[in-house]
Amino acid sequence: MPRKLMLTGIAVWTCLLAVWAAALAVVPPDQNQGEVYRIIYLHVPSAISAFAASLFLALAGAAALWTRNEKFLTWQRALAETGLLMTGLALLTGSIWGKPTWGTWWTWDARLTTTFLLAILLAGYLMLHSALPAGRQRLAVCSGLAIFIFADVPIIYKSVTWWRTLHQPPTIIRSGGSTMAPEMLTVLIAGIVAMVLMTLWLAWLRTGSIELNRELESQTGAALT
Amino acid sequence: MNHEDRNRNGKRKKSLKWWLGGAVIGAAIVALVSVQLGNNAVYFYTPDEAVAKAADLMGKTVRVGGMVTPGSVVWKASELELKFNMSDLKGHDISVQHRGAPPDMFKEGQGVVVEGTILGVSQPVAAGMPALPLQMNSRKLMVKHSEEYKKPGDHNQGVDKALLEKSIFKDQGGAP
Repeated sequence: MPRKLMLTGIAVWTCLLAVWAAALAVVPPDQNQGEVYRIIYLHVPSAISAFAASLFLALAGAAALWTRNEKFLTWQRALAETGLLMTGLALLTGSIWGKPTWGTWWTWDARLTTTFLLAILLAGYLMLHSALPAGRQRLAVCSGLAIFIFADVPIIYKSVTWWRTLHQPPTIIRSGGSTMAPEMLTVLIAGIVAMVLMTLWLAWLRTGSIELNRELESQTGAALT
Repeated sequence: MNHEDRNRNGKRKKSLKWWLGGAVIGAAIVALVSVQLGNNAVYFYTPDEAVAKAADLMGKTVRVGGMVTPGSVVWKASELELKFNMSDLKGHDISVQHRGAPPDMFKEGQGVVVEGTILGVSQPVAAGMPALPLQMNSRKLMVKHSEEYKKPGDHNQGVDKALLEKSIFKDQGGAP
């Protein structure tokens, strides 16, 4: 592992572990939900990280179309993988949170459905990426899809405002200010920042192994992925 | 297996992946478009909509969202039988019966989304008597909580309830 990557990784993991410790031990419980609400410190950061990964995926798509540089396609794949990981984590933690508070693991409201759709879109991107032979066509098609996927992100975000949902409306960014106690909000925002950095770090780490895979493939002639 | 066979197999595998990927993306696009265009397909009806459309909705599986009327909850733990009234706070009430334990956050004044069947339109017993609430059989009882998080002991009661009402009845001119 390159030294720069390793040092960044240690820094990001330290931040994330510190936030998780604060979320479990320092912030107070919620008046209505009690201790169970603490999963918010994992759920909201994962969801925002999935949005961030999708944004950078679209940017890598635009950069690849602009420069025709394969490097950006490598980044796309890494970001689609980490984005899918974070979307899955958001769905999983949301479901675990939903059972004790809402009384159900899952319901097809607009927020849940559009988030599920993001997972399918990212999985579809990865299938397309692995199905196409390397070349100009793959670069163009994948980059186009990378940009298209991002369209789902504002829809997910606004779904709780536009439509009637079981999921509650936004807590942090809303007219009239946040509806969260300040000490909770500080830790939540720190958690979002740390998790987004972790997502980007994971994607960075992954670009290295994708490159390595490609080198091995070109040397041995075998398809490894 | 000779070399040519293996090549053909490889090609078939590749084209299958193509179709699979295409199908997944196609399905996703269709879903995305239908969600965007689905403004009219609501996740839940409000009590006044359910009352107005009761004749059409009867017998179908529907979701209705509202507030649990204070003082209306009857919970028989030994028979796992729950009864309560759900209201839009503007005089449209639905009487809900549910089998099974309610979610932990279920309480009077809480927001709920009930999935189940509308049983019937109750007629007033006699002219001049108030209309009886619409009956609904719940199969899935879900709590809708607000976007507010506060420390135990923070006294801003009412904010929570106002936010909930705003969220449930958002396209109906706000809370009464």
